[in-house]
Amino acid sequence: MRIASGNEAIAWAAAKSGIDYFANYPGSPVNKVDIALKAIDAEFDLGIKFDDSLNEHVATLAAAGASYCGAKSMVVMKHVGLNIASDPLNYINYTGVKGGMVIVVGTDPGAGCSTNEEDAHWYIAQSGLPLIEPTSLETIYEDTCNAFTISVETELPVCLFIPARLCNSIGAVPDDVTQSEKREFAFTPNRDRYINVGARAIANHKRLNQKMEELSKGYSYEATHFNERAEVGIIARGLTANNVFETIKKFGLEQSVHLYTERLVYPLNKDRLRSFVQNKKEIIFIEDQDGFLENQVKMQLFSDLPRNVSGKEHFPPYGEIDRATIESYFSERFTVSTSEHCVAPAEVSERLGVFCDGCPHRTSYYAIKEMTDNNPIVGGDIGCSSLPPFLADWLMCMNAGIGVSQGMAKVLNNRMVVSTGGDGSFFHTGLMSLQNAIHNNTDIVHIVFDNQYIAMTGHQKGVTLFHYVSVKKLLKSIGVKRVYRIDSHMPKKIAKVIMKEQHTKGVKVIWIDGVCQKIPNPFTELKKKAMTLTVKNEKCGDCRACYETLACPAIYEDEKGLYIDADRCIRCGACHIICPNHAIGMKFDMPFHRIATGAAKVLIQHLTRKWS
Amino acid sequence: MNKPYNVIVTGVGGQGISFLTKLLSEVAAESGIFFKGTVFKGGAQRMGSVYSELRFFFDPFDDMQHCAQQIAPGELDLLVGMELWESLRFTDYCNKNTQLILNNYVEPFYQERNPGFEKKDPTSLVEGLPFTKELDDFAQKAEGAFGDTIMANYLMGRRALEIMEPFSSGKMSPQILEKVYKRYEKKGA
Repeated sequence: MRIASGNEAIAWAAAKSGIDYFANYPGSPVNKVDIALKAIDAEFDLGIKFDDSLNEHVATLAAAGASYCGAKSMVVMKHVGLNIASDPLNYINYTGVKGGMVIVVGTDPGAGCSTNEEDAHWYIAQSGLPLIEPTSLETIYEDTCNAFTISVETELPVCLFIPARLCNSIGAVPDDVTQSEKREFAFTPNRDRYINVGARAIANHKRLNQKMEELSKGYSYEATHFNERAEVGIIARGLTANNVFETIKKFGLEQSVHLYTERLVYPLNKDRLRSFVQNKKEIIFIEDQDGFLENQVKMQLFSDLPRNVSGKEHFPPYGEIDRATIESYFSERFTVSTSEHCVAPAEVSERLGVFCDGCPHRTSYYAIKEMTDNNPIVGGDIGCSSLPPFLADWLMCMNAGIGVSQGMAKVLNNRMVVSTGGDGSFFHTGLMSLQNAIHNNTDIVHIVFDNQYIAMTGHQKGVTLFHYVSVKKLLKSIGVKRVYRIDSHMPKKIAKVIMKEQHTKGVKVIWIDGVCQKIPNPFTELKKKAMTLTVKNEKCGDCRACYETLACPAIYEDEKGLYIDADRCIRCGACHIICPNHAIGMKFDMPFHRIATGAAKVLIQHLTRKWS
Repeated sequence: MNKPYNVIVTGVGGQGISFLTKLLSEVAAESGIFFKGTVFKGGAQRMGSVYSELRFFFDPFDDMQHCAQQIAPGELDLLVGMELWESLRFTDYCNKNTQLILNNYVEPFYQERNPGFEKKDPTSLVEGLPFTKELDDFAQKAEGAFGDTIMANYLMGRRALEIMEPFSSGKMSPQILEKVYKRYEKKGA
């Protein structure tokens, strides 16, 4: 056994199940599955093939392709990634798979790590694929193995939905793996199965329905608890099921209720559910989000249910259904007292996102917002650049920056629109969005913040880190009028280009280079040794641009003035550049020839580094 | 019903909440104690709210995987707070028996740099809490003991294990503790 997170439990279970192929686009809360599986693969030499996919659409198709050839595959994405993958999802349900395929989706009730908390369950009803939902870290492991078993047996992809709280859970899981025998994979053409058109599509749809009907009879991961003779039946799924169980125990309601929990949430085992509800006078559904289980049971067992059925009347369709909410309901419904709190919750401000110390996006945003003189509308995008939430004017889905800005640019004549996005977004679907702007003769300035990593989700390596793409050539070849590459710590230059290009025709791209400072950086280490930045408070005009607007965390204030914390400062020099009073001094602590020699060494190291 | 022992560890990104949580988890795992934990990092890399919930089940309920992943308000036995504002977020989880181990560090919100943000002092709020609490400068202690403030989380973990009643009342072997401590001192925060 090993201490593992929910993400790692998925990886261990995949390794135990003999996974051959893994694809993913990283997104919280399932952003660490690939990192964990790569580590297991390296430790046990499993020979798993990995696809660091650039978006969820291609990841899903690639995993299906591997499975068509007999490989056991897994694809991992967050709930909003399923929006991108929903297109292939509605084909691979018809084609089925061969070697087994598991689709892991990290859901986020409560939007703790996402920009929305949409209920991905409806994709399941729409695509008609099996869905398993674990209730604990231990069942994450068990159900990942179950999902592979069902997929191999039914030749259907099997979905596994895991909420953020469980993805981030920690516990002990088995750490043994299955060394796959060296299998030869092969693709056998099968027109009836893989070419979905007209009558074949209908036949495959029928076959899917038949398989799901068989599955609903053959499988169930249900459990019943407490008094089977109780008149009140409670049906729960997912993480909520454990919360309900503990609340019943805590309130001593074991004799008053009968609890039914189900991990195979789709398709439902109607016979077992029917037998549970048959003598009940009341059924209460307790589940998070929209009430998918309640909806399915009402639809499929309408005539078997008692008159008194409720669920979403008591539990909100948003946020997490936490223990406090469940306790509050039980306390009222069964007239029992809840825990008495000694102290009311303290009023503490929310910590809004901030850029890390030395983050290259800080300077870029300063240039866009503070150094251009006509208050541009700024299109925001998913990623680290969106951390301080109010710098951009909207924050929605991937590439909403370049997407929404195009419509605005066409209809607004007097306001400048600057769209932004990260390098991850650009290679996710941003390239197509940019092509759309070119294709439609849109006049727009688009900024790409290139920090070389998918930094927000675990620093997975980005495309530009490997230097096989010439960004300038790529952009020019698709029709971008003008391409600028500027270092992120040159805000004046960034602002100058924005101002210059705001009234010119066509699509212009400013590609801002600035590697994420959370990655150990030899240049930064050298700069830290070579120089120091200090605020000369006697020259300071108290404009507070460095402290309030640039908001560098390395700059702090006491009653005597502003100071720079040398430990936190990465010597980017942004504060020095933007200070209108020249009150931030730069002092060199090393002779120039040593700095030059050091820089040359670092550059050689960088250029000769072997990228894996 | 035998109650689990509930712990919340809280602070801000970069302080090593995950490390401290793993330390406590490993001691439990090595001792054969069933536990459940969750670490919440949100979207922030640094300086954002981070907390973890840990539940140690000494006498498991008759199952459903022993029980809930979440701690309910009023059920907390120990709060390990590496930052004062973040510690204050969990006062409604405490009851009259809850113990608090608090590091006296305060991380700015960065919004206070904006005009109009009401500045308050968390220390006086913490001092007014009606719980058994230990407020100390663990960063300074770590600097003294290891020459690095980053080991504050490790020291707080050790202190937590000393006062966590189920661990300190003889259920924990000193050998296990030493073994885990050595491993974590080597790892560093």
